[in-house]
Amino acid sequence: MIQEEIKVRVLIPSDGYMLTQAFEVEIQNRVVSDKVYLAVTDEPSNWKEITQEEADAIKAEQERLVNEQLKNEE
Amino acid sequence: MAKNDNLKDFLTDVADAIREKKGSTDLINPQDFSGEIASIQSGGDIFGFDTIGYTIDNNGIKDDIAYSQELLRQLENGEITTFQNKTKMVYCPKFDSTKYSKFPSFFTGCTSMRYFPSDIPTLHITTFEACWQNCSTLVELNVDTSNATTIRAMVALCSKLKYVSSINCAKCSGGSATSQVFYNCSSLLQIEIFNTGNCVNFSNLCYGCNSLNKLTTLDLSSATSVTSIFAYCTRLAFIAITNLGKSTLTTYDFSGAAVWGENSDEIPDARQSLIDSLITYSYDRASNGLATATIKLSANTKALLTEEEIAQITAKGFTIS
Repeated sequence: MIQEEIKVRVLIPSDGYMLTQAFEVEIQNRVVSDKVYLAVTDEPSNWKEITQEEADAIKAEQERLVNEQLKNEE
Repeated sequence: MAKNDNLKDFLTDVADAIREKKGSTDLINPQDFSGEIASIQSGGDIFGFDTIGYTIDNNGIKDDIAYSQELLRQLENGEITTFQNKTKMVYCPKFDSTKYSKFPSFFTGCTSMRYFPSDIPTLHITTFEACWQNCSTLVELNVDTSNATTIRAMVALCSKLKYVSSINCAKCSGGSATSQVFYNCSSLLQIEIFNTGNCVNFSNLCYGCNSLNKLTTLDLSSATSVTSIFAYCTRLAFIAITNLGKSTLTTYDFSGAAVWGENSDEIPDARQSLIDSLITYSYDRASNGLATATIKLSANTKALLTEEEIAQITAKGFTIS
């Protein structure tokens, strides 16, 4: 019998910060999170901390883009 | 009608009501009441619709039917080409749909229409784009989308829509063919959608469906956009997804489904749908050499996953955020 222990790497930002991708990504695909469980194919270096204000700005921009898209397609 | 102070008055009132409906003055024996009532043809049958969801008011129906008859006459004479923005049309007349191959915006803005006759053939229709968009009083819809190449925004903004038949997406492989289909259908309880394996754009599919509690079954094999697919789906507990992660898409934001996986008496298998979608029927990106994909879940949904389940998901090449 083969027993395999799978470890999950978890990233938790410092107080007052959130996590987002460290690389360039389209704003609609930018993730903002307070906890990230990394895939076996992912690396901690793919993530970075941002301030809560920066996180709020990203979310607001994503919301604006969705509303704009909906308005354009109606 | 007199007040029913006794059995005789009551029986006379029932007989009078039957005679009025049938335009008759014949005497009716009480033992024949059930047969007599069953033989009364409702106004709706004239146009081939039943009375599901209607509060019947004889005078009102007569007037509405007269208006629907007039619209039907205009359509058949070519005075109008669709029923678009016929805001006073309560009853959709039973028109000859075989004369059409496409229904783009055909009923858009029919804000008083409550029911679409289920016996109007739709199998041959290839375009349902925005067909019933903003039919804000439509309650129920039975439609055959088997041959449709687009159903974009088909019932968007139908805020009273509670029931819609199973939606076949077998031929909806085009750019935005499956986006915004149920956008802001805020009364819709369940959605059954199938054959989505070739569909690419699911953006805003269920945006604002805040009564929706169950969605089956979304094959995301070819998905290139799921932006806001479940935004503001605050009661969506059951989502059945297959082939998650099989396409080139690397971000899946499902966080709008705030209670995905939360079992209840109404949806006892909600958690199983979460496990099936993320583990059992998801694509193994890691084994197939694909780049990491990130799944964004609500805090409630993340909390439902055990460490072992999270390990199984991340082992398939998904980062959970």
